[in-house]
Amino acid sequence: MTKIPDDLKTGAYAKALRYLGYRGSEPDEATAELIETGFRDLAEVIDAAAVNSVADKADVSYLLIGSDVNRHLEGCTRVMITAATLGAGADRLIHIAEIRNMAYAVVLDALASALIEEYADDLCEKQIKRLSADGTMTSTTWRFSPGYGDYPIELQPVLLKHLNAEKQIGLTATKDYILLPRKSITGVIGLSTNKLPNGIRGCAACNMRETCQYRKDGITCGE
Amino acid sequence: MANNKVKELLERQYVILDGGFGTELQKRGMKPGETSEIMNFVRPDDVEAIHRSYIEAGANVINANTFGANRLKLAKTQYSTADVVKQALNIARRAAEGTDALVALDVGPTGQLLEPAGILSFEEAYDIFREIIEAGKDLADLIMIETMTDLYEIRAALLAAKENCDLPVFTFMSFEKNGRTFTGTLPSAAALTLTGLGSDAIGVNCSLAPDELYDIVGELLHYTDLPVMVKANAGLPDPATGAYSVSAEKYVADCVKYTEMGVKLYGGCCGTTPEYISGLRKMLKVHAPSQREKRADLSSVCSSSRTVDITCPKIIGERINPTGKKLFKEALRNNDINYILNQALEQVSAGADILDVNVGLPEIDEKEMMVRVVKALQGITDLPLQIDSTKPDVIEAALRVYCGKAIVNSINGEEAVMERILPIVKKYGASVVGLTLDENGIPPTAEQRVAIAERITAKAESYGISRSNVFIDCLTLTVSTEQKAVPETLKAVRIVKEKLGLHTVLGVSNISFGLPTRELVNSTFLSMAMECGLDLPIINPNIASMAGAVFAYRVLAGHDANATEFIGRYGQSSNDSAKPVASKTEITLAYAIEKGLDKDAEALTKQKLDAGTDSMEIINNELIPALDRAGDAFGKNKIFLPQLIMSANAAQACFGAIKAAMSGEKRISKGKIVLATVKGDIHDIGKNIVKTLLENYGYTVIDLGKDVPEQKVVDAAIEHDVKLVGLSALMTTTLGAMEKTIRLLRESGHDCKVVVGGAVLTKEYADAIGADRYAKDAKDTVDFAKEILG
Repeated sequence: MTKIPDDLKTGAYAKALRYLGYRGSEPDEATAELIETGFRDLAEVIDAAAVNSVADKADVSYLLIGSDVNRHLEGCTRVMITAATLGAGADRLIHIAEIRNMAYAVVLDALASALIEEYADDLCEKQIKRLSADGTMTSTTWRFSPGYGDYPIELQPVLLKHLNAEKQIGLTATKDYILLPRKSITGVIGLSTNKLPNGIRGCAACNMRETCQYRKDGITCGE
Repeated sequence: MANNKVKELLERQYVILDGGFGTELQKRGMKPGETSEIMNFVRPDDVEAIHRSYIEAGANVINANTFGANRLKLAKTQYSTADVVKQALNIARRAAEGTDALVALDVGPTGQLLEPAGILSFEEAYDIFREIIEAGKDLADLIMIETMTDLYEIRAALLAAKENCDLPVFTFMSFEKNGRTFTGTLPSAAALTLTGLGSDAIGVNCSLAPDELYDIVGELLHYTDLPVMVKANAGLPDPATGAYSVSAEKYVADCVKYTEMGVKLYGGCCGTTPEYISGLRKMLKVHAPSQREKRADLSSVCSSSRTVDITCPKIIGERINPTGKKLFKEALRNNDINYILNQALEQVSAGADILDVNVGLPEIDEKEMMVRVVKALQGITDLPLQIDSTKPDVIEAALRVYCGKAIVNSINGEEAVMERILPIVKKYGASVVGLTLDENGIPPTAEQRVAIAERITAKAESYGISRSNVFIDCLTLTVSTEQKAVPETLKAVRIVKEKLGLHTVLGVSNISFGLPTRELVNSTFLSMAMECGLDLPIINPNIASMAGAVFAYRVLAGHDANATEFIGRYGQSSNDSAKPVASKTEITLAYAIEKGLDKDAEALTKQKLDAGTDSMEIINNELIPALDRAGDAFGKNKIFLPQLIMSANAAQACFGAIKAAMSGEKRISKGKIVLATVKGDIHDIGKNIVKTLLENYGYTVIDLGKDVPEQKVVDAAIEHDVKLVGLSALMTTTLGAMEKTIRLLRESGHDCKVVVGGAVLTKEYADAIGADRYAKDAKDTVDFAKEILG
């Protein structure tokens, strides 16, 4: 079992609260208790896994469809393709909670979404540090995933196949391009030997962008 | 004929299989992103050359290049499953011409996760595999099902092979370092299930290197008599170069240990080449595998992720059974699967080891309900199931979709019953409960019951079911009416256990019928029976003294070493007392609901009902206004989603108390609503939140679940004559399905309103696809329901 490192908990906590709609306010006692239990129960079932590959941008052009991803990767010669998952255990735990206690299910769902984000970010950072160490690159973009902008969601299975993700980490996509296990992330990251401008991550890079109440209310969580 | 060739092969001391294919194709020019199976058409000579290189290296069996040849993976190519399978097998046949090598039809995973984790149904998976088998059965000598990580999926493939051809079938699963597959399948569960279903050899392939698989292979050997196979990876590929980390030399050296363990078939998976295979051939000439010792006869049952060895008393939970239970019957009639799932979860936490499942009710379709319940149960619990029905079609339908090795409850000494049910038990590799009665009824003496047990066992053995899979029920009679029968039952248990060497099962609770303090009688009888050799008490584990008797017995009889399990369960109990319910004078029911205090809400509702308050008055004057206040606070961002749902949960507890107090015929409902997450979409947590809220406002929700076909929504709306349909979608890709559902609803002419919600929706879009209302959240849906249904 690969656990999520403990030091990611703080970041995940803050993210999860945002996903639950808390706009800077602290949760009430009952919810705080659910969150604590949720972290504990999730830790028991999460078996996180990730797979990456680094390639010359030109060699993987078939994975880079649409103007947005290509704009995102401008100035990069190499790219890292990445996929990460919390595994099927998290889905099952949430499913069981939906039967026993819906409030807990909602909390678990938010926590798991936050954890996969933090986990994928952390892994990418580590990979990138490794790559910077040998001087092959000095700057990177943030992770860009199918479904952002005009980067087609239909590419989800293509990325998975490129990474052999089904065999490597048990990650699949349905015929409607939904990743399964659910708490999973795929994406591409640009690598460059030149300094890249610091792009603003914004909503496009957020895993919750589609379910975010802030966005529906016309604001962002950063406001 | 093919069968004989494989049989001869398995009689040899060892068998050599082939090695990696994808890496070999890449060496010959296949590019990343290209599909291996297409190479059968664009590079047939390369494919043939790879086969030949493996035969030359010593492989006795080669796998045709059909691993991904299924309709899902080929969907975006110009080729059909049959095209690819036939082409690949013909190439392999050519390569094997003039040699002794056999050709296998290679079957890999569909690439989609099956229910419950995914959305591909068991039946659909079966059909995908059936198509592959049909296409290849006349050209192959055997079938190899490989690299499976889901026991459910490999079961579908194995069943498809067994039911659609006569070829031998070898099955492999892929395990990770934690000793399980990605979906949690245990090696023991794989061995028990695949052996039971009639696989001809079982093994591990892919994912790990040879020196990482010893424990996993050891577990397979422990749980099966079948020949065992190992096809490991050459370690891990380097992310930059793609080179594998384990050399041929090391691979072969690490396989020597398998010869000592008694593994019979050897090959390779990712990263292995003909060099590895010829290395294996040389090694096996020197280290012929040892003969395996005869295994002790095990009695074990399993789900995919839990194996229960019946080596000491194990609790079979009896609560999933409508007999004498008003609410359970009502749940069955209303298709309320969640009620049944709750019954399961309660027993799981109470310490049950196996769950009995009985959903028989005269007015429902038992077979359909059984399948639904079995599928739903395996999504939420890993406890093995005992299928409780006397109807062969219900039993078969349940065993077919059950992912593991189940128990069938039950047969008896009646010839006709045995002849109807034992072939089904054999086909699906289950265990079976045999009741010691026959057409003449329950015999009075222990000896007569033992004689029936012997007859049942002999009959089971004649069908190829081993003694270890027959559990005998010596039958509990009621002590208040037949006091003399008690010692006979206990005596029979002892003889069956000691003389016949069979495991025993007893329904315990019957003993106390008609007596006061039944618990006391039940738990005492249970202890007596366990001392006589009862292995599988069927009890209500939620009664602390019943489950406790079993836990204590395991300590006293030396099964629970150092009382570890017992202390784990009871050691903390003094600190674990439930939170005190707030003093009744302090809070009102409305307050309890608003604040989400479910225990208080339940207790206060009971108080009110006892005091004679009308149930509708409670609902209209307390429950709904309280929910409204919580909803308002939510709308104003004063409370947040978890709190809103906690309020709903408290309302649910209130409703529960009202329902329990009402007689079955009277129902409270403010109207019916159909809810569904549309076709293609599986994000249903939002829909479930809406459901929770609506139910607690008193509406009856007909929940069609997720990934619901458009027509099914229309059919349900008409069948239940609902005035309101709620649809949810969370993906831009599934909005089309939502639009189509609404269109079909309108075309059907059924008069109803449609409310839509979900992450990607907006009011504008909802209007454009013809919905009557866009709901921005669950509260909004409730408001609309009030407008429409009152």
